[in-house]
Amino acid sequence: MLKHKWLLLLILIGTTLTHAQVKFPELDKWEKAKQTDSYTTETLWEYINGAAASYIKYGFQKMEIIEYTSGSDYISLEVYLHESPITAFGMYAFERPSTTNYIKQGVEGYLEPSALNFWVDEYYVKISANNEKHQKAMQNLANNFIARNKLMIIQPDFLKAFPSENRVQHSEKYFPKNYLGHQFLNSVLEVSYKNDDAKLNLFTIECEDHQAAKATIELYQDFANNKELIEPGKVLIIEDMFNGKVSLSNVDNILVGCYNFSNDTIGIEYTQKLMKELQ
Amino acid sequence: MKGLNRRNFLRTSAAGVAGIALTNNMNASNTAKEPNQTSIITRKLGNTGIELPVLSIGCGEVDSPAVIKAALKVGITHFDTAYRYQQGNSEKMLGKTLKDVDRDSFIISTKVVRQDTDEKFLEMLDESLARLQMDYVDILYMHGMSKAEAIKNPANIAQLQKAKDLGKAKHIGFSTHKNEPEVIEAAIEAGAYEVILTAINFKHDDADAIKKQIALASKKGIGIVAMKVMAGGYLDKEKTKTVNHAAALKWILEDEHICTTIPSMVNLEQLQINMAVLKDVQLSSDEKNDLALAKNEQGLFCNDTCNTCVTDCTKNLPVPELMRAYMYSYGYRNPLQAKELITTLNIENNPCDDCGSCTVSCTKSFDVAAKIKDISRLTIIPNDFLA
Repeated sequence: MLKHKWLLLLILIGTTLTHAQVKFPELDKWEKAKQTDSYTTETLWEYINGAAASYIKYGFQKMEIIEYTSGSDYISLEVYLHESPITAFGMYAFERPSTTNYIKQGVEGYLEPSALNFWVDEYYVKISANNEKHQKAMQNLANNFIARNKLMIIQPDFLKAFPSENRVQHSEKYFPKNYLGHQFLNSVLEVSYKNDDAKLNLFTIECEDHQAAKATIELYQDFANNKELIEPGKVLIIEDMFNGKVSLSNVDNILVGCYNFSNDTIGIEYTQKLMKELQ
Repeated sequence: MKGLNRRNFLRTSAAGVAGIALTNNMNASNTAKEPNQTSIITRKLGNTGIELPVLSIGCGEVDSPAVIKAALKVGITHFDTAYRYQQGNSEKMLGKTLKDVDRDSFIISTKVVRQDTDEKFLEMLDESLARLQMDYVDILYMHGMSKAEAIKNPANIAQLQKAKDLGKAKHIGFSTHKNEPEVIEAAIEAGAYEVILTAINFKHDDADAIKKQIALASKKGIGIVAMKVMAGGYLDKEKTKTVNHAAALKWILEDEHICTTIPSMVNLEQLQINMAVLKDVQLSSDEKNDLALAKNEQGLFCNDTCNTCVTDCTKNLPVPELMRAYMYSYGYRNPLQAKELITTLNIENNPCDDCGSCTVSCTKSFDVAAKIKDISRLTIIPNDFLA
């Protein structure tokens, strides 16, 4: 047992060291500041005030910021390290505007007149400039950052499972807790779907094991006074008095659900499509 | 989802524990697909012209828009927040959630701590309004008033009045959770306040005195809103004994001088339990028994009124406030809120460390030194471990 604890400690130290070594690249024609500022969970509020609470909710661990200057112009590079790719993605998605100019940067990113935000691996990266004319420089800096830190641009598995048909682009979200207001729905991935007739949301929760997935469904049943038996492959329809009808099932340890659907047939159909992708 | 199963969940969740005794009622209420709002009990808020359902929501801990939307759906229309709750995120969440809802269909109250200048006070209110995405709040409270002199202080009244004159607040008042009877009495004499948000619950030693002043204030047309109604939510640190939430709410609402209550409801499970009170405020005999038993427990709620501990402490520590922080952490299960309070008190880790023996004598027999040692540890724990 003691040996395992030491092993765990070594892994944690190793992880921390890796994370601590964010490398800040050079940027052609811009002067890189000699020092970075860094913020932890304790001090982030000094930099972004109340917004810090949301970052912490999404597994924020550390942020480093460095400035590049050219005459009186500047570009700042903020690198937020989160505890996992899914929480880094979650924070990025939480702040992502409803309409924006998406660009190929990191796993996903977007460019605004004087800001470029993207996420990759466990990092949520925010670049901003004091002048709109520096968009190209911001993009170069983003590329340099990814190259300097040898970050791999790979679409993670947790986003791949959702079916592509009728999927609303850039609608993926991650909810660390209290999804739909329920205390038992935590660590939830949600994707929106839309066609001419239907509009709905599919979601998944990766539970510890099959039993935990089943237990979560049972909790929802308790809440809604639903006494149906949970059978393998069967999709339950829960009548949630606050959120309307919600379909639920599981594929091994993954809880699968759908809500906001116009009729049961569509809810079940989409839930089964997602289940098929997961099998 | 580690270790999650139905039995553990019910044992460890606030809603679950509170709901065990209420399971049948809970399920029965859930069978209604569209909650019938016609039978909701409402009361007038003094002379403000506002009429509120007896159940409202205190949003100090609420961070889920789903809870606010669900509350509106079942007929709850009053949401209470404050400038400093969740470092402004409580107001932001409400603003974002309610921005597309008819402004006349809900009531928002917020609180700002008194400031040295009117400008600073109004500046903070403007910040609150910006977060709420609103031009005005329905009720503006001066936050945390604990002395009669402060209530009568013309400078404090002027700060609130200016906000009202500028149209930033429809009605003005204050919140209090210390020395409530004398503070409310002072408010009646001052004649300037339209609403009082006061701490009161079935375990409050001064409950009778507070109720007496509430009745007088109510007769003068002051609207009364009750807070801290759950007396900490739990009766022990280990959370094996839960306050019967519905009974605690009904105990408050049996007094018709009290317009509404603002318990915290951070998820739909808590809302589902509490919402029964919207239509029924009569205590059953079982509920009366629950409260009688709970009243005899030491509990986690500090009355904040006897103040004997304040003079007892050789280090002049703000003992009642630290006991409140202890309740936030162990009763409300909100160590972040507890840490927020401790930070404002400038308390360091284990401030009693160099005291030989504790000279504080608590009327509720709290082990004050042990509780301070325990709760002050929050100052050295990073926030992400508390979130």
